[in-house]
Amino acid sequence: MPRPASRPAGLKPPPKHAPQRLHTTADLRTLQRLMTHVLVRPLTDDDRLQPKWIDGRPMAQVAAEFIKPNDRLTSFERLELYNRMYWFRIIDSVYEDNPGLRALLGERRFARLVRAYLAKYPSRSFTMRNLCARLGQFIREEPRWTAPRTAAALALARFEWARTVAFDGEARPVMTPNDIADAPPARLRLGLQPYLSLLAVDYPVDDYTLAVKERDALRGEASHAVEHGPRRATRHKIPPFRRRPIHVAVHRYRNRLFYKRLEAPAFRMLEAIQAGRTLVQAVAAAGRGVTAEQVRDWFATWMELGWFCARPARPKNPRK
Amino acid sequence: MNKSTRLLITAAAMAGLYTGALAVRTYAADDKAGTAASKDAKEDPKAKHDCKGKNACKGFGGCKTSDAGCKGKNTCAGKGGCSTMTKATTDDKKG
Amino acid sequence: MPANRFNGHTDYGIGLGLRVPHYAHILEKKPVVDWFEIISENFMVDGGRPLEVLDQILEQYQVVQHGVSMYFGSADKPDRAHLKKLKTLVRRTKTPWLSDHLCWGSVDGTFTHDLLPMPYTFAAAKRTAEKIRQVRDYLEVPICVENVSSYAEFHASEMTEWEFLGEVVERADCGILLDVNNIYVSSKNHDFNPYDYLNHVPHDRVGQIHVAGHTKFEKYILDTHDHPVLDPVWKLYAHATKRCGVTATLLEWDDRIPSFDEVHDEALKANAYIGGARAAKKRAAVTAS
Repeated sequence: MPRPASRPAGLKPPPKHAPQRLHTTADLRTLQRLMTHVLVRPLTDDDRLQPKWIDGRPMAQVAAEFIKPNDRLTSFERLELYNRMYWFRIIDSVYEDNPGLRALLGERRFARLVRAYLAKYPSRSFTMRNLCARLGQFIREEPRWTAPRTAAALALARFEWARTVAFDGEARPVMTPNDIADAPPARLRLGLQPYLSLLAVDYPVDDYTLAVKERDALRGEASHAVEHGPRRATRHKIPPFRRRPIHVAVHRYRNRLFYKRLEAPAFRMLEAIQAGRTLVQAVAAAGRGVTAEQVRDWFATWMELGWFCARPARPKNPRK
Repeated sequence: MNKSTRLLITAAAMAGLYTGALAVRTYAADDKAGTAASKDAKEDPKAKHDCKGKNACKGFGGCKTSDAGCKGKNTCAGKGGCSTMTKATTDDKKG
Repeated sequence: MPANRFNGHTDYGIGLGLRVPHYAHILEKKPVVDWFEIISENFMVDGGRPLEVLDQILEQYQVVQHGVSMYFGSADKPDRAHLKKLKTLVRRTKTPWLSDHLCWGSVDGTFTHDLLPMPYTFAAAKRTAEKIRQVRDYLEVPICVENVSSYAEFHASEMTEWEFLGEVVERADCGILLDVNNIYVSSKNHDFNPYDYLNHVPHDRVGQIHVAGHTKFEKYILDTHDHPVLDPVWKLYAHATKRCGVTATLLEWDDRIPSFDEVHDEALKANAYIGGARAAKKRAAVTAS
């Protein structure tokens, strides 16, 4: 099994020793930094605190420097409780958000991926909602955890993060006819809702994730039925996840999640709009072969769905 | 795409924007919505029940057997706990 | 205390933690509940379903915010963006008070999402109190800090946990969310008498009480919130209400969550344990008149 990266991103190096006395806020920070390094240190394969510290000393010795033992638990064991709780909590959260990726890789490989990911990228947000924000980036950076299905895994990680964004991401006021009435198309720049994600991926991630969720729901019902009645044979198969490039918009409508397939020219137009291009430039991005009727229908639908909003104002002095 | 085609398509896009805005108003008046949402789209029916109440202030202990480390469960309370450390006892009575 | 400056002079009764599996029941059946406590972080989002549900709940019920990530005890400064989001939510809920934990959980901007125990030192108490004041001044709402369950203690500690709690709340001039289950859990993990803790808490600062279930292991107890409240915790609760008065009480149930009615029934058991405090309240009213 490959080893995860040893230095978690964002954390300053731990002190060599725990401060003996805490007279200042700096002392407190030193102690907290040390303990945080202990907690985010990956568990062993059997979910225990690693027996050696980063510098090679026995972990028991390091723990005894700052944690009191009691008559039932050593300093090491007390720290281990926190180390395990840290990992269980965040792993659980990532599991919940990635049913598709989990199904693709299988439980064991998914577990290794998640642990390696969180070892490299511990949480930088006050909420666990954002734990998977860098999972796609990690899969790109360290394909060994998902090989040979890295492309498929990446597609699913991006899609499943897009679901989180669509679920509770920001919604800006929807654009109205008044907002566009006086704007010439050559200067009209539409905004797209922040909760909307446009994905061009090589796999039908939407169908796959829905199939996985359907299977999981049926399994849940089946296990519930087992509790209350005679056992029935239940087999729920997910269709194979074969390469088939798609364009999909992950969005919400009246607070319900939707996955909308897009034709390639429509996708290119939306991408151009999202990048801040004018309406004329966005239309040009569609390329050849689109008809006026198609484009009218697309824009009508997107407007109906509330995808268009004002673009956020640019800060006047972005360097400040 | 030549200039005249581009003009035509741009005009169609503008027309679409107005048509869509009009449809929104109509739906609001008729209280009928969702036509556009379901067109060429798949709703995630479970997503509205999805558990997103992620943050809580409980301890994560519990020991559940697992062959793959922590297994996430599609429940709304997080369940961590893997492998075994010590066994729970139940000598406290519930109130 | 029933109503004091730390709970916005409210006299809330027995509440429940608002949890996702109960949304449909609550919105459909509209059960009579004194109040709901929300985990602030689960609603510090920019849109979508969580805020839609919250707004529907706010139309019908009194809501109090309870946080899990302010980390008053972390050495880091309060994060302005975090505070801004929290204030937006405070304005939305109009929470009469806001609670979070007397703990730490982040350093250098990295979050553990745990409620980690403090080293009980004077320097830490001073720093923690400063942060509580800063947060309260920014949010413009009374703050109660909650004692946490803990599984480890630091060599560096200079006092008991209850002394530390007292030191912090006096310096910050803030309230206490007294979690009697956490007192019980920590008392077992650290071998102290939970009644000593209760007797030494500044009772006039208690604005709210938490009860919850825990799980007992061979060598320690974990605050798992996945069981009914256990007898010794109810007894502590009864003692706490005698000391503090009949105080806004909330049941936390976060894992293996049963039906709404089961959780509500469990919370209402609190009524059976506050007889002594109610009698004292009546006597005080008679004496005053």
